[in-house]
Amino acid sequence: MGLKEISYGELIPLAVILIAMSVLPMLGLSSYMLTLLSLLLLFGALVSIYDFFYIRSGYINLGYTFIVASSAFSIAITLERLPTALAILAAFPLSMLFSIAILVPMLKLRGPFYSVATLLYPFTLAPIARLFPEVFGGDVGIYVRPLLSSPTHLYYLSLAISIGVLSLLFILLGTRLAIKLAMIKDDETLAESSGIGVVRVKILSHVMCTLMVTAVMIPYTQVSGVASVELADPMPVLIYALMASALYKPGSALYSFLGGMGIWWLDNFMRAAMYDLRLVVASSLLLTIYAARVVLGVAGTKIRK
Amino acid sequence: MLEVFLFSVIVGLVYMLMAIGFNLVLGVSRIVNLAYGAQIILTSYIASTLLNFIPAVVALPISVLLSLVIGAILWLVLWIFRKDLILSIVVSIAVALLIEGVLLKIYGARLISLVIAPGDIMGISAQWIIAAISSIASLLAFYLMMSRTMIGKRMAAVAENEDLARYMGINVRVTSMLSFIIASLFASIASIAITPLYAIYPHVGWYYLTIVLAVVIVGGLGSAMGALASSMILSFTQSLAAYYIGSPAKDLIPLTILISVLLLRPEGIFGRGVRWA
Amino acid sequence: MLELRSVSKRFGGIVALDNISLKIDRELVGIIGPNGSGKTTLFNTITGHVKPDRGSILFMGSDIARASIEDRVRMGILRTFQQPKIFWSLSVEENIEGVTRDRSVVEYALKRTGLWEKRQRNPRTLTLGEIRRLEIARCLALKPKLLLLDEPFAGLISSAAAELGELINDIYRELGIGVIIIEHKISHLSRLAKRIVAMNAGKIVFDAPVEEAMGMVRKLLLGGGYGEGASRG
Repeated sequence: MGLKEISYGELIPLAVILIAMSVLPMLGLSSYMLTLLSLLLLFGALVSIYDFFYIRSGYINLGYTFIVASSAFSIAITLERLPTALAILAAFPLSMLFSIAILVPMLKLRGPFYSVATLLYPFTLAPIARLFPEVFGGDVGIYVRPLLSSPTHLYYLSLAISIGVLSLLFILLGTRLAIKLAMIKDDETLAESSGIGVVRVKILSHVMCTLMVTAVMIPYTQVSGVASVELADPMPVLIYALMASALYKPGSALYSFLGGMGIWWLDNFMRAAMYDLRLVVASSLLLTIYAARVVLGVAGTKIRK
Repeated sequence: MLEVFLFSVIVGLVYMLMAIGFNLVLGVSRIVNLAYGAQIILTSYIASTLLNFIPAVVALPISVLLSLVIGAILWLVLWIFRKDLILSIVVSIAVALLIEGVLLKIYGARLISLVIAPGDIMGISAQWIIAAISSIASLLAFYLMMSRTMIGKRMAAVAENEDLARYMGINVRVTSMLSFIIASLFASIASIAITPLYAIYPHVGWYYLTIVLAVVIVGGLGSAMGALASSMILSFTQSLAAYYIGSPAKDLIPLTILISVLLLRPEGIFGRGVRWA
Repeated sequence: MLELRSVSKRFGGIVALDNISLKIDRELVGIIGPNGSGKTTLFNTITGHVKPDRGSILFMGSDIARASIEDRVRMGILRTFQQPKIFWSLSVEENIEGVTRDRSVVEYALKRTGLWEKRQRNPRTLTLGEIRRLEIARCLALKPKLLLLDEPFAGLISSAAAELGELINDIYRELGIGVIIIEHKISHLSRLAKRIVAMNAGKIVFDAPVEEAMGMVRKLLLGGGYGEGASRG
């Protein structure tokens, strides 16, 4: 079974779900529900991006939240200083600038070295934010200038960006980039010996990943209203992304999207019902899912070949 | 200034103790235990509770013992996943978060500190002296164990070549568990030594993990002199940075050192070219 | 086409290649030698996986000793590995699609190696002989000028080995390229190669036409010494 069969079989159910989601606001949902659904969609997109660029390439980036948080900061920083259109345009190169830092280990390190090095990146953000509170707002973070006031509009913006991201990922699945990422995951030495420009593929995928994350973070920061170092914590984004992409089929946009939405829903429930147990439940779930994969003998397919 | 110097030396010794435990597990069991930071703070939390009820002489050994039991359970979990290094890394993160979550639930996010020995001895804080003595004693004991005992030799053999060790009749699983428990012991002693000096909160385990990784990677894997030198460099730079730039800079230093070393010389500055990938 | 000029490589205290000079044209050459004689290191220095300490490597007239692996692939230096290396999570076809944009090249490479019918298969369902052919198909898709095969016959049953030998020979004739094969046993090469280079301890022991080489190996075998390794398979 190849990559393409997986992707086209998923296109139809995904389209059905997204169409269903586009009519939801017409059912007169509360603005709380709409806000929650917006976050679900955006988180689903974040997980799909993670799954495509990192799980698929075998480069388990544990510093994904660094990209997420620095994208959020980029948007907040530019919105504070520039007119809207210009700010959004400027947010992309700014977040690229941040994330170049994390590209360097990707080019130099492999396997566990890469994972551990990237894990450290998010932890640099908190001390940096405390050292430069006038730029990053210290521990509290910075306020994001609101662009859309209506939750319905925000919901549609979130839906549009999620659809955009997912479509882009599906298009990429049909290209040779997806095959090349799988080749690098399988055997980097052989990929080099097969004339795959490994460095070029890595830079390209990193740039695309950062741009997509930044696009997702535009409505995300609008919904949350703040960009703070809290986003850089492994919990929730990284932990839930690792969980969602391991839930059913790794390297699958549909299942990681659905898994991401489902886990975010659960997280929202936990925040409301048992905030102080959230970390315990989430980490136990992550452990259980990975243990189940090992017991079922499918663990290997997820992270390595 | 003399005080800053002395403080940095003691903190450096504790860092080295932490790093040696992590390194032992890495070498003998080939497990990258990212829950090690959480293990470090765990003992202090247990001790802080026990100290409310029983005197330190009883409370501290019991809290160390409990931490060792938890360490043994953690070993079992990581042992199951160890075939896939990256998988075990993810699992160890999950365990770290689990410990953090439990601590957060029980103690909340506030800072706590341990007071074991208030007062001074000849103008030097008794806490500092305890920290210095316990780390030096542990380091010495570790040196003697590795060079003089059968357990130490077995561990060295497994670290050198696991398959060969198995053919020689060494029980690799037991040796691995022992290495993990000894590492947990060092984490516990370091915990009790450092918490009177720096207050902790549940999230601080990640910070100690970065310290440990910085010492281990800068010092090179398997190099005792390297570990000593890098612990001291780290501790002194932190003290200076905290003094001249401000407290947040102190947290940034292990990360900055670590990331630069990982990028420039993945085998470490003092290393003998051992790679763990 | 390929010329090595006094190439040396040490790994710690071990001399893997000791002042090797070798010239190879559009011909089918076999390299034999015992384990650790430097055969694979020789391949690695040609493909760029190992940088030589001294000496130069000329390919089509230009020095490639400092060129990257990818550049050498682009110049047409292609190889297979001792342990079969393919992309296990991709289908047979995707293994080739990943390396070339051109559909007709994918089709040609798979048809030429007899894998076209199996293009949708998961490579884990292939036999070792088919995996070896898939490796060659990957090289074909990358338009080889010099093909380096590292023990392609190891582990194959004799019918599969014969089939593979025929394929290699046909490709060599059709494309007019240089082919170098590393083997333990001279027997697989006797019907294939015209020229045999024997290595031991990082040095070239002899470089002779195949008939002569057969005789030399026999003599060495009887005399003991080096021949032991060459006879092992």
